[in-house]
Amino acid sequence: MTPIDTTVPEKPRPKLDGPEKPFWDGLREGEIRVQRCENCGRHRFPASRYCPHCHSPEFQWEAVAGEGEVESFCVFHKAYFPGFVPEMPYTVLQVKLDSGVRFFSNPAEGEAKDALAVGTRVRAVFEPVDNDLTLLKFRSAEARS
Amino acid sequence: MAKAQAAVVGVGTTAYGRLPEYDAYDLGMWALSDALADAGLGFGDIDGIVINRIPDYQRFCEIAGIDPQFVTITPGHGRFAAICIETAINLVSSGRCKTVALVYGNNGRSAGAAYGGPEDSYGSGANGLWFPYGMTSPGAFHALMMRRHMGLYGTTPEQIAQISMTFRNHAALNPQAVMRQPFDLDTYLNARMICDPLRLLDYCLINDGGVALIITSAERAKDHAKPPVYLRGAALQTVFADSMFPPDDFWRGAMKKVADRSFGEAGLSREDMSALMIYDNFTPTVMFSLEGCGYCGEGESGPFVAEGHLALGAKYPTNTSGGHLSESYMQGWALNVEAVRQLRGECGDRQVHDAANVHYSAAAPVCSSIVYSRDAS
Repeated sequence: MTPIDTTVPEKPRPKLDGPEKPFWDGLREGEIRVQRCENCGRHRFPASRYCPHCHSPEFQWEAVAGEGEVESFCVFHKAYFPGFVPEMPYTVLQVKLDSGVRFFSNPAEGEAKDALAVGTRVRAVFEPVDNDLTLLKFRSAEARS
Repeated sequence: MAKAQAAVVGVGTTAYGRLPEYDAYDLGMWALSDALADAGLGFGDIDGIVINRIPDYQRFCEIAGIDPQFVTITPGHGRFAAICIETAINLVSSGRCKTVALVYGNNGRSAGAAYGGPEDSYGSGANGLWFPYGMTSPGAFHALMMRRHMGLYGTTPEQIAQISMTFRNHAALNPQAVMRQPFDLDTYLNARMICDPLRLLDYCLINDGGVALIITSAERAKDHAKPPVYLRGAALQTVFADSMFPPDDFWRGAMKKVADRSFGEAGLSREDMSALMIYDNFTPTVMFSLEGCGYCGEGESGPFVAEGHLALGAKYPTNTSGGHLSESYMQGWALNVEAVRQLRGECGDRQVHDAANVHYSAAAPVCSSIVYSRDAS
């Protein structure tokens, strides 16, 4: 008898040592680090060598506050990635932090399915996947941690 | 008002559906042959060619046995239909080319094209940056936009449903359409969710097919087999800043620009339009175009479509072929052909009575607007 394979396929992983390495390192340490242009002061993410606004190549990675707003959300009923099948349907959030930087993300673990609507204030939650990877998720700002 | 500089003199389309015997080159050749015959021209008359979605320009021209002066190839993104048409207008109105062929071949259905998952690079892509959150697909991008529209303006699924129901009713009158069975509101609401708030019936139909257009100067256009359809106005506007995320204004700002510029060039207004062809990769795109082009007010597209204005016989018959939602996803190309056929009076049961002007528009990171007309001025 062939044993039944009960392993859940892995979810896609980001490239941790790519241009966004400081961001992923930051999440592991509980910070949201994005690029800040040294010339015009604007924040940006994902990473780019040149500032899209003033084209300066001078930048620093710096932490921004984890408060923001849900701009929108959608709920996936189709399995584009096998790793997400066990938790389908799953929600993707579009969040804009108060610093102006945007992220696609998911509601933090344990967040009620209907707690996040368009316009809901949220704050960052740092969810470790394993020793190398922590993901940036969000929870309603009113909820207790 | 200015006189049109360019005109469509030939259009060609293949069958749409599952055509596993044909690759993208074959589909392009089928459509191009059809378009040349429609124009009363031969392959040797082509002195400029713009290729879309077919993998390789050299191989295509080798198969077609042509040596045009001008050649270019463009990525298989729907926004490129209008970009290619704009290119052809520039080539013929400047006198640099006499006869420009636009050729599109898409074997996406047989090739198993997936618009989401590990190979997804929609928009500006992100090297898979968002895949760990399960974010992927142009459908999800539009679902996010639709949800926000619902949140800001109170747009409802019942309103959105009117778009796909109306286009299906039109497709029922189009023998070339892939999906021709009309459905009711319950069927729409009960269709399976793909990416909530979008259901199966909000998504376009991936198929195999090809489309070709022949464009020449307005002056030369009179000498072809059929009456010319004039390109009275055309405009493009990119929206690339921060385009990894949905635009705050649902592309309204850029759509207003292209509508104003193309209507201005045409010397025509929205009220002059006999029919609309609106890029419908997903139902929300239709709403964003209607608002951006000024057919209804900001945030009012829900009630507007629910009032039935898009149906044949109403004020703005839209996507009379069934569009991408019901005829076939030919990435804007077949909608441009439908505009031409309406203005020639070739549309049979779905013909708009006395069609004089037709407006094509597409809301996307490259917004576009084209005004087609029976008359040159």
